[in-house]
Amino acid sequence: MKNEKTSNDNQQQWDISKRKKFVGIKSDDETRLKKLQPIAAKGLDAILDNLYIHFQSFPETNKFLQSEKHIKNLKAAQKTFFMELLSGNYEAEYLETRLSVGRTHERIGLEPVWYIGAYLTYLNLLMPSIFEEYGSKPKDCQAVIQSLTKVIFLDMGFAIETYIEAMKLREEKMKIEFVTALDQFSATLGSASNSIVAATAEQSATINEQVSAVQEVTTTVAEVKQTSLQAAENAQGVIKSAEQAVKVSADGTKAVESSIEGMHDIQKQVEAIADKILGLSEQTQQIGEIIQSVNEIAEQSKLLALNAAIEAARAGEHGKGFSVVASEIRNLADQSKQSTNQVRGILGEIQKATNSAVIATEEGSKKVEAGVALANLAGENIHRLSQAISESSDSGKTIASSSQQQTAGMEQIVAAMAQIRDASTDSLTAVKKSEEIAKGLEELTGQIDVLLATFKNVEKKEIEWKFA
Amino acid sequence: MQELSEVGGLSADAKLVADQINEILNERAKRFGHDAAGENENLIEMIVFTQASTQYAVPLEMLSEIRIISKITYLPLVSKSIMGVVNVRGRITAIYSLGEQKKMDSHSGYALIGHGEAGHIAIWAEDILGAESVLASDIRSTPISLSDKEYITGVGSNGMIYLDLEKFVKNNKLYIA
Repeated sequence: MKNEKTSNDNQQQWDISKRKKFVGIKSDDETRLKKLQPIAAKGLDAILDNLYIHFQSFPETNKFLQSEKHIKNLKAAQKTFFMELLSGNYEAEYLETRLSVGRTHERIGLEPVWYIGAYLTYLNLLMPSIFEEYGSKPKDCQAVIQSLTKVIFLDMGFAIETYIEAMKLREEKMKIEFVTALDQFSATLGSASNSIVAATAEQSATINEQVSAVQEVTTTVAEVKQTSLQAAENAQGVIKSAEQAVKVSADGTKAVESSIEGMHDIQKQVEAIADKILGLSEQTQQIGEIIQSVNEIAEQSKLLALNAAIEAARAGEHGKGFSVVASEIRNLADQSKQSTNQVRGILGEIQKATNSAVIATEEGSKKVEAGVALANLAGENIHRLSQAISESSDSGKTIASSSQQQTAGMEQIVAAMAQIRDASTDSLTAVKKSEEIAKGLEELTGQIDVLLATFKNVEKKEIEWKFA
Repeated sequence: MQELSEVGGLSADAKLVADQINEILNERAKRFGHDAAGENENLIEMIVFTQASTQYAVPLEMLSEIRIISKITYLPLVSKSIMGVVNVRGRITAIYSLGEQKKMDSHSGYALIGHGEAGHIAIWAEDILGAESVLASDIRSTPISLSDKEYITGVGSNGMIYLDLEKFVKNNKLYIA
């Protein structure tokens, strides 16, 4: 690092020496200018006042003068500047001061024309003092003016060159920034165009898939529409069947009601039959009791006949007629007993038949009750069935209505699908155009890159020349 | 006998009734009628009764009365053949069983009351089957197995046992307790 600084200082020293030699500044000149410094210092304040009055009279220089205080500060700096100009020491420190002035002028935008004009104005204002001091000595006066001219031109050379160098540096910086920005822009543009191309390709594929999907949806919707129409027809059939079923169920309900009424009549008849049979059974029981009495009477008669026969036998010959009568009576008693036994048997059969009839009527009554219950149940079921069928009919109507709405909706979907398909086709066209544009952008990016490469090469060469 | 159906001028229903009457009369004639030759044979009127599923017959002329009995008064320390006593119109009458009947407090049945030289006697019967006329020649002699029972006069072809009530009353063994 130290070696580099030394080399740089040497280079500057060499540059200063070279420039001083080029404009012809020698030690005599430095001596003369050093002697001139106190002479110039005498009227320097007045010179500066006039100089800034002159500056203020031009808008191009006045715009840099912000206030009196600013002018005062500028005057102080200017005074130092002019004193250093006549210091007779024009080495590295001096050079650094001048370079700083040139950079400042470039930074604030004070062009060299105004700087040169200011120098000329200062020189014009200084000339009277010089002529006043050296007017009597024309050679000295000439030599002083020449020395002053040399150092002014040396100084202007530094200032102007510094201005130009700073301006170039700024332009270079701007160019680098511009190139960097343009490079980034080109890269971004390239990336974006690549992304756009990829996106448009993907979008194109997506739109193709969308068109295909729309086509499938359109076909499916057409099938669904057909199914919906079929469902509507089926629903109409269901409605008709349901209406017929409702009518049939109403007839069935009436038939069941009639059956229930008939069952009730049968039940009443059966109960009446049961009552009558019970009455007959009681009467049969009474007959049985009577038969029992008759049987007992027959038994008594038989016994009486036997006793009569005994008495007749005891009566001897006179009792033979009575014996015949007793025998007849005994026979009659036997016949009566046989008859009563037969009647009893018949009554037993009647009693059994009556009991069976009573049981049968009870069972019949129970079965009639069960039949009534079943008929009621059947009636309820038919009623429920009728309600269910009515609900089915309503559902069928709802289905038919829904199917019609669905069909209308499907038609709307078909129309919408057609619009989507057209829009997709338009989008595909637009995407293809976008793809072409993106490809154009890619080409443009390539062109920018080529241009940038050329520009970078130029800058590279220029920079190389400057530091050569 | 002239058949009633032979009477002319009857309607079909009347003829049917007449036929039934003729049938009854013919059956009655078969039951009560007998040949003139049989008039000479010795016909015995018998009362047929059952006791312990055995049919017995006793001559009608040996009986004075047949009564229905519903209650028998038990007598202690008497023969097993004596079932007890019953009241017959104020007369205390012993009632006998032909077999060895168990003594029971009550017996529903009949009492065949006889009155002979040995006095009053009553034989218990489960049922009175009726009165029959039996030819004396139809009565067989008593088998050996029943020879110890002197009151049995014989047996019928149908297994009926014929009794002599007088001998039954005179049988002193019956009184031994």
